[in-house]
Amino acid sequence: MSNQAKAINQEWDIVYEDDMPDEPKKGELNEFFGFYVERPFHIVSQMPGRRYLDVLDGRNIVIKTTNSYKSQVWWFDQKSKTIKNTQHGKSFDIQDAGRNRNMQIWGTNSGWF
Amino acid sequence: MNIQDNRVLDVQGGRDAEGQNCIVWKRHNGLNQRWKILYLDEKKAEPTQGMDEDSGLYRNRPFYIISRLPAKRAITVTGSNLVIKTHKRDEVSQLFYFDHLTRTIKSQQFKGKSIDIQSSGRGRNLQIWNTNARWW
Repeated sequence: MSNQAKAINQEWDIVYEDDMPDEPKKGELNEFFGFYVERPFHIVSQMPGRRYLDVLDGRNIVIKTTNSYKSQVWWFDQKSKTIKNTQHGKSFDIQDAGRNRNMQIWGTNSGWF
Repeated sequence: MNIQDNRVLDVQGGRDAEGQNCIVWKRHNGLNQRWKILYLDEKKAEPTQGMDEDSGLYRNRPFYIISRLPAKRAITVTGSNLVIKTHKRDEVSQLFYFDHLTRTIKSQQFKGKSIDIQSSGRGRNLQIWNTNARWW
């Protein structure tokens, strides 16, 4: 056993089957992630322009002035535990499987949820 | 927040500009890392009338742009160019309005076009150009 300090990857909860809560359904709050399931939302920057998170060129995540396009609408998908874009159907992603710093949308992939 | 490495969603360089890129960055709690989740069913309808405080213009209320030079000429659409001409009441080529959705000044004559700086802002000439999501 390592002498390293206790880390979250070594912390576990025992949940008995008869105490296991049901997965939140559409419209219900996922308390761990803090999102309501399948309830569409905008992500609004708190900088003075109050711009909305948007998708440029079908992939890159940027801030833009609010408009009526669905590329500014997002929803939390309980099945994949990802935030999906309404227009493109892809999920919020950090480029290069998290090794990059750029944010994008990418095909929802079980490798990273 | 990315649980793995404590990085959060961040507007790159803290630049509050149209189309500015978003990245993940070490958390520092700056304004460029603060976000509000606005559920659509709680969103107030976007006002379509009245003053837009950011621009100082009334939404969807047609106006003329009158020069303060002695002849008081009005900005007029000529082809795709903007020039000053003698003001004529109800002349559609001299009428503009502030469009609240795109946050641009649109031509009443060509409603799909907005006032634009030529060459994506690199030129100095003013024109009207197709309203384009890249520059609002």
